[in-house]
Amino acid sequence: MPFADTDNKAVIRRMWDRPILERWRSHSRLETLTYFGLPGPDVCDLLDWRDILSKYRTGVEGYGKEPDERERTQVDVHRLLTNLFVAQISSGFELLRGDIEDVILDGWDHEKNRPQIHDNLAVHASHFAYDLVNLDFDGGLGYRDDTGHARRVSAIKHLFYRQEGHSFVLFLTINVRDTMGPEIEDYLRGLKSLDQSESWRRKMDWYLDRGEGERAYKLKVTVPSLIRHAAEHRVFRCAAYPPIAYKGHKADMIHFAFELTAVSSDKPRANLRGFSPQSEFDLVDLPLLVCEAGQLRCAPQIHPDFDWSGCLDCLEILPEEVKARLLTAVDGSIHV
Amino acid sequence: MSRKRRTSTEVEGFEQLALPLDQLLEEHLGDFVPLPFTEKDLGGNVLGILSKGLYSDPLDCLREYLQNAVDAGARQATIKVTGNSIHIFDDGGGMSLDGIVQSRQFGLSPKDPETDVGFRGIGLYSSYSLCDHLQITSKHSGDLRPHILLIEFGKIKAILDSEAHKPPREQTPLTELLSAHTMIGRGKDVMTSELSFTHVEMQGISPDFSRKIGNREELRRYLVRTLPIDFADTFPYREQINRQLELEVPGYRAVKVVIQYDGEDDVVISKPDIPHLQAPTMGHIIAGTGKDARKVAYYWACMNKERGQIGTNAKFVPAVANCANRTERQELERKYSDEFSEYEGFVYKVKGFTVGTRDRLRSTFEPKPQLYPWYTGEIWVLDTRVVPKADRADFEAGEYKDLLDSAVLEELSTLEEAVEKYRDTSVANERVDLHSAAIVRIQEAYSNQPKFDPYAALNDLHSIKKDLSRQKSKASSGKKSEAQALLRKIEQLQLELQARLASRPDEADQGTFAGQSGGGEGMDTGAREQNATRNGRLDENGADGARAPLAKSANVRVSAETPAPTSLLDSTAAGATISRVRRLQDVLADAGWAIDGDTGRLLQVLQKSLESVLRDRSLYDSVLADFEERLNDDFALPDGDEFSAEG
Repeated sequence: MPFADTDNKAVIRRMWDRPILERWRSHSRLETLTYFGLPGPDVCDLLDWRDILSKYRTGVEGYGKEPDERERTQVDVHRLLTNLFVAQISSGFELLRGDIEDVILDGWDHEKNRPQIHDNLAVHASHFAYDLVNLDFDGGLGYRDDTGHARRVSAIKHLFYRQEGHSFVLFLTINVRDTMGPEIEDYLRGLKSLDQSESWRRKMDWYLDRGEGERAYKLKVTVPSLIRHAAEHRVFRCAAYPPIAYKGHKADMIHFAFELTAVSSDKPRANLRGFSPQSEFDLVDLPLLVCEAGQLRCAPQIHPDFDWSGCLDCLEILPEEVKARLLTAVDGSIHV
Repeated sequence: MSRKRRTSTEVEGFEQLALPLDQLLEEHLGDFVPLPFTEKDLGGNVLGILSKGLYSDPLDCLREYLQNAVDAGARQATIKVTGNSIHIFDDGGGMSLDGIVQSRQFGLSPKDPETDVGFRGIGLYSSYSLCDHLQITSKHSGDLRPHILLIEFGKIKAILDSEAHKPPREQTPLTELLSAHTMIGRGKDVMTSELSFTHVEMQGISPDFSRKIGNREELRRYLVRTLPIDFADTFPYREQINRQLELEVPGYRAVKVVIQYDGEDDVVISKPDIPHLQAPTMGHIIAGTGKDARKVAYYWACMNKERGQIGTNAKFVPAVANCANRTERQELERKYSDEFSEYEGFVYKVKGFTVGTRDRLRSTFEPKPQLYPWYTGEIWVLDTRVVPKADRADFEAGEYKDLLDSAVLEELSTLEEAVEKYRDTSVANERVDLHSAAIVRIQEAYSNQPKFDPYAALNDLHSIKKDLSRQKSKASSGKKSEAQALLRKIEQLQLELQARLASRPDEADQGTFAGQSGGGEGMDTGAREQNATRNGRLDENGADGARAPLAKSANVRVSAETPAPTSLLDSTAAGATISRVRRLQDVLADAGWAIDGDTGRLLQVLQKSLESVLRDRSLYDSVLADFEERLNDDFALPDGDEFSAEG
């Protein structure tokens, strides 16, 4: 269940996510965007983006494993619908019950209802075709079960199968805490081994050295790389925006934004893999942004040899004053 | 033995309730003692009994919640079906904390029966058998936060099921069940003070309910029948009728209902825009006379311009008329016809909710029930002493219901007269037009056709004249004059034709006789006249001096070259003039009878029989005219079988 809205989250949604969506809408020549995600009882995203979202939105709300939990989620569901009705945006909204990971992996929810935008194939094989997927988790990247399997990671990867052939924007928000354990560091070491150059190794060591309270930095490198690979495998081109760390209701969160272009929808259809505009190195070079007290700025720490020039394009969506603030280094100098 | 009733205070030991009843009765032999009703006497199963008993159709619970919305002044209600839940949201006045607390009481309602429909205090539990979980969020204007009521029907049912085989004293009483599984809360969200709404959610709906809700057409029709649904925006009399109803019916407010299904466009529920209706007749229905006179209802009624049942106007719907594909057009027409047929006749409305069915009032149009579906309308009951039954199938019996029924019968009889007159006038007008065209054709044939048959023409003119004379009295004033002019023209033509026959013996020799073997060729005038006398009647309308046609014949000229006609409608001979022959079906249709299925086939057989036997056109027309007259007379079957051997 997503946390209640906070100032920081609202700023991200309005100042960052919304311009991304508007740019995507313009680029894709779509009038409105269909939505699949976790709106939560407050439906803040649906409200903030109501004029650019299609009426066809699918929201997933937890079902609850234990009876007490089910009662709580039932109240949340009711509140979600109440907010939709009051805001007069209930038309076309479909509510699925259960974990969104299960909907992605299984193709339907706890009550065997399928997302309303699908291709009529058998449920296990069906594809979705949403323009925006907003995975606003309250938990971390992955919670491993007894066998070590992280269902959430599997679901994120499987999302690209479900969306195969349909370009979309992915927003992913996760808690910096998870039970992935040393797997994140292993991933970083794996990335480090991609190149033997001194600057690369120094950069990766810097991330590996992040300590207590700095996990956001590690996730900032790991998640975009993971997404890129999963997307390219399903013949998408993946473009990542700089991640944003912020303090949520009760936890430290990190927010990612990706543009996934389905190369398989090109004519003739591509089948092998997608080739993203950003390399593995480009992704690492993205800065980590933070949102504090409702303000977007660059994270207080940055990896060695950081250079804005590689990622100025993605800041074009921001208002000038915000962009200027981001480009101002901690020492007051402005990076161009 | 005294049969004194003792009050509870007089009965020693009563207060304790611990005194065994048996002992108490022994001590008060011959007297009565009060028998208290405690919570233990009310079992949980009464919930199921009430909900299933009062709301036999699962959709009735929707009606109950929407009823509350109407009572709260809602302008729009949204029904959303998503997943395993049904949500009903309305923009009415909402409930305050007190209101929401009271809503769960049994048989107690703060509503005013004078102004509100739901006042029995049971509607909240209507969904008990249909869902596991009822949650209601409501915000009253002036409150900053909404209040939420939660009732766990599923848990209550589970407990009752588990206790089903326990003795009564071990079963959990209703009050305890409801107390344990009804919760109330105040929402955290701060909302604008002016905002008011109610959101009802039924979660975990039963498969039966789910199926009913999933049947979109059935749901749509149910809602239109049972709710104060507004007219379609395109209905030309929408504003006029709504305006009057708002003036005359206290609390009238048409409600827009929107149904939302996942993955589909919204369906806006409205009363259909039935094409080709006349402007409405509206007015009060008054019961009693003099100072006892009282307005008991207000009605509106629209008559069909097209002289038939409302359902048949489906063909005029633009989407139907403009549909190029025949199969699709037929399908579309059937769909609209089915929908419009649901609006034939009249229905009682109480605060916008339907009581009974439209068929209930069909008998008010006796002895011409076939004209009842030419109208669509509503009767809004104003007399609050006339109370609908809980199931809304009828009103509760009583004096005031009887008064209402009598007053409605009287008012609808004037509508029946009106539609009858309209029918007769429009049929008459139409016939005048038809006959006018026929006369023109006869004139043209007379002037231009070398093999013109004067006998056939005289026959036709005779028939036309008879019918015109009959129709003239019923036609509208303009058509009356036209009919009169046509009659004069007929007389003129008849004289000319008679003169022609007298001057052209060769044509007279070739008179036409049907029904005679070998035809009529070569018969002399005298023989013809004898036949005319023997075989049929001469023109009895002697006032204009025109003689009846000498040959009562089919409308064909019989000669050696042409075969004798085998039926009245054979028209193979060149030069024959034929005015349109009406059939039984035409007569019945004009009179407003619906003909389908077996009736239609029976009529076809009868028609063939008539054509075969009555080859004489004049006789045929006479039979049909007689049939039509009798049809338009009071048509009432006496008790018993009119066609029995004894009859």
